Amino acid sequence: MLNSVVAQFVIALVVAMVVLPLLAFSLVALLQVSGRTPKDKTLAGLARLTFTCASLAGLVAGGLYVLRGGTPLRVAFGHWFSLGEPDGRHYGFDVAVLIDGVSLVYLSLTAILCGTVGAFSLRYMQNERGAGGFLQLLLLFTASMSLLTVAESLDLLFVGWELVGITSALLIAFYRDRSGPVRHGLLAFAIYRVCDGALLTALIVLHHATGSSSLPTEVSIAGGGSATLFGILILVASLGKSAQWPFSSWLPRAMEGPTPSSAIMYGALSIHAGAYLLLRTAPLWESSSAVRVAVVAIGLVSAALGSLVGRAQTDAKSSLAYAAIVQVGLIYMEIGFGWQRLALMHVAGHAILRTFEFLRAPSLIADHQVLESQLGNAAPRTGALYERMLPKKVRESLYVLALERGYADAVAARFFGSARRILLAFDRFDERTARLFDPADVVCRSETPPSIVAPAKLEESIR
Amino acid sequence: MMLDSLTLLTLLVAFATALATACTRTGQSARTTATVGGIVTVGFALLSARFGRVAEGLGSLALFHVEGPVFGLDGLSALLFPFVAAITTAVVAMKPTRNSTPQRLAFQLLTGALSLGIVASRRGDVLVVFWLASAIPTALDLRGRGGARMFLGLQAASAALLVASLALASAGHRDPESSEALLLLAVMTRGGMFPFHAWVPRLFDAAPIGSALVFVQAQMGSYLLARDTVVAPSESVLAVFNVFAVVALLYCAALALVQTSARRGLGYLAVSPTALVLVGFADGGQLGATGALLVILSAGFAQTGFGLALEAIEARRGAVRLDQDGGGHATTPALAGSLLVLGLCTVGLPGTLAFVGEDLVFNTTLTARPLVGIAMIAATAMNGATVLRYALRIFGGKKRTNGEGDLILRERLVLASLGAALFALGIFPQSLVAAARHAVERLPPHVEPADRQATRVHPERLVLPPRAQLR
Repeated sequence: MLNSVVAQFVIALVVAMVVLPLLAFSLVALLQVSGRTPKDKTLAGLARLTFTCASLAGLVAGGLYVLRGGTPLRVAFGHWFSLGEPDGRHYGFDVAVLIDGVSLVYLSLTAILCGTVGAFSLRYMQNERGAGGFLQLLLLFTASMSLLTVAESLDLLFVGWELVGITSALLIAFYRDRSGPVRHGLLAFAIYRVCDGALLTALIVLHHATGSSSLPTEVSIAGGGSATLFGILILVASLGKSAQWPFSSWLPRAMEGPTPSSAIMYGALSIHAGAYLLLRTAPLWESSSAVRVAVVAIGLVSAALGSLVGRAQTDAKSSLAYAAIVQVGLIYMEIGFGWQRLALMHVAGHAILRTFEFLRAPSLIADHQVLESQLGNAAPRTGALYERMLPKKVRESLYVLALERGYADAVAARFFGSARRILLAFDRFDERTARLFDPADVVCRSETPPSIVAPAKLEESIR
Repeated sequence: MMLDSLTLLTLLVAFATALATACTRTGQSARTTATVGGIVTVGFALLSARFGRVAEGLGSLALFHVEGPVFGLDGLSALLFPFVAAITTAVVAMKPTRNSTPQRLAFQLLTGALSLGIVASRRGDVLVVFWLASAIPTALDLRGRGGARMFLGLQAASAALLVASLALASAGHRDPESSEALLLLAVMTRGGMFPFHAWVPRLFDAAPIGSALVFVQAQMGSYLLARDTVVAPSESVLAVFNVFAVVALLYCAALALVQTSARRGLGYLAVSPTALVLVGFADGGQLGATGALLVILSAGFAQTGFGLALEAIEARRGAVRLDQDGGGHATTPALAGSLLVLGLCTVGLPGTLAFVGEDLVFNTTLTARPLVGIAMIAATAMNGATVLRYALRIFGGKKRTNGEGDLILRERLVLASLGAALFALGIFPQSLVAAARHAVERLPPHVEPADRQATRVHPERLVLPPRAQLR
């Protein structure tokens, strides 16, 4: 009886962790739509209250879960929408939560780190223009990450996954007055969308292999083509968010966003979302050795390349970004080898340490000076001994490779540049086809006023 | 009797609104008249969808069949009737004063009224008349702007194909697949699908955005496809056109991604829903068909909202380009937010109606035709990148100093209404899903081509029984 009451309380707390930030975000959005945008100070108060409540809810839920013995909890809240077919088949989008060891670690991390970074942001961003928008996106991210973490089905996980991607891209492009962040936000979103396609396909494969999209806690696809196909799709889906090879290029560029968002997204939670996806779905693909080899191989390549490229970076946040890629690569290898508990511990340790490093990054020079004055010498450079062991030519080649970030950007730029030229040629063909019918016509948009119009006149023309 | 006339009454109100708007003298009074008339039309359309249905089954598309009512709604058209009215009203209500000439607003209202006529038609010949007539106001709006001849030529060709298809079906032709192929060609032409797509970006490039939106986002091609598919599906014909749908999806999504003109990009984006709908219906199952119907509604609302937000930006800045940063995010946050949110709604943002529709279509298609499903996912991914590119490039970069204002109350209300509809129907979709499911319930199961001759629905069996028998 007591156990059941505690279980229900845990579920209520977990749901609160998703719903509270979402409600706060929706409330602010509704006020904005009605033209009464709240002041930054009001928004900061609301964010403080929400982050505190959500963090407490997450921590208490975690504690109670451990106290009641760590038995997985699975609760269904019904269908979001459902449809029956005449042949008796039924399709429904289930809304249900699953709390077990994996989700608990991530849920606790989300609770602690979102609360910490939220509190840090209130001070760090307080005089920044658009600070309210930043807090709003942080609220949406907290809700999305919590949803992703507790989703019982791949359907619901996909919803959280998509929202995490959107908030991530918008936070990278937060400083819209500069063109760099805007371009990099777009790059990140484009990569996310490619990988999301793989997740959507995996979802359908799962539906047809097991008859539902529920995420099991024990092995449920016994080898064969389905497990391999599903596993490969999940692996591809995970690569975008976790910035693993060959989709690493967006992460260093994402550092143009505000430091707190870099910390929470690319140091702590978003970058480990791929590892979460692999851990969560492991019972569905771990029977396939091909998938396990692929997971290890991707992790190894990412870690090696990240380590090499990271050594040639000249700014603190880029170095941290590549360091994060290396650690996540190692986590992938651990997952591939089947050491899931180790991977979970690695995730938790890395997330907390990296968040701290990112939050301290703006003070790096001061920290370094303190360190060197304490040492009485220049701080030693790690790995210099191994570098000297390599022949000079190899060292130079590796240095160029590192500066060029593994040539991934150059290859991508060349490919997309060619694709763009071909597509524009098709567009010109379409335009010429249209002109065949109306050769004398020149497109005229008399609706559009000149680009610079006196403000008063402009207002009048809109009203 | 009163309830039976509701559909006709709605049509009369729609046409009267267009006439009254044409008779006004100033742009502002024209817009007020158009908006009030539009809201009344939406009200009547909702009432007729709720109370004025003549049958639960689908109507005949036979030519010159004099029995039965000329206008009326069934499960399918009842879904689309208020939708078309709402889109037209949103477009005229959003119109900036500068562009609100009585004539232009009247043309847009007329296009909307004629599209309502298409949805309400119970007879093939009446439908064809509305089908062709609905293109005329837009063609008149295009005069001297470029692309009018091609636009009208292709719409006339579409009407001719439709007539030929219905004539073959009415004459009980031996080869029903010819009739269906002609009908699908008509749909593809009207929906701007590959290889008949060139007129869509041209229309968006040259015509007033509102006129292009009313014509394209009413989704009449998709509606006719739904109606035809529900009456007489043919797997072999649909499979061929499925290929064209996939090409259209990928081609237009890729071209939208590389556009430098925001208007042309909007045109290419507008092709996607028709292709998705065709793919959804091609499976022949109720799941895909239900999803396809929801895609018609969600894409119509979302792309109209997205286009109207773009129109509001053009009213402030002039032609919008995507190869340079527009700036101004800080000074016009509501406008920037609207463009972003409504843009994301067009590509299945979770929590919106678009997500529900796409989920159903993807599920069906990936099961039945995995390669088509993967192509759909690729196209949706590209469209997602396109709309984010719009939102970030148009408002990103340098600060704007021309003092442009944010959304005014009227614009805010229109865009918020469209967004609210998408989110409300997305968060609580079950009633709409059930209604869409009900609309496609008469979808017959797929049969082998040889058996189709025997089970083909003949024109005489397509004619609705007298209204008295339906009561």
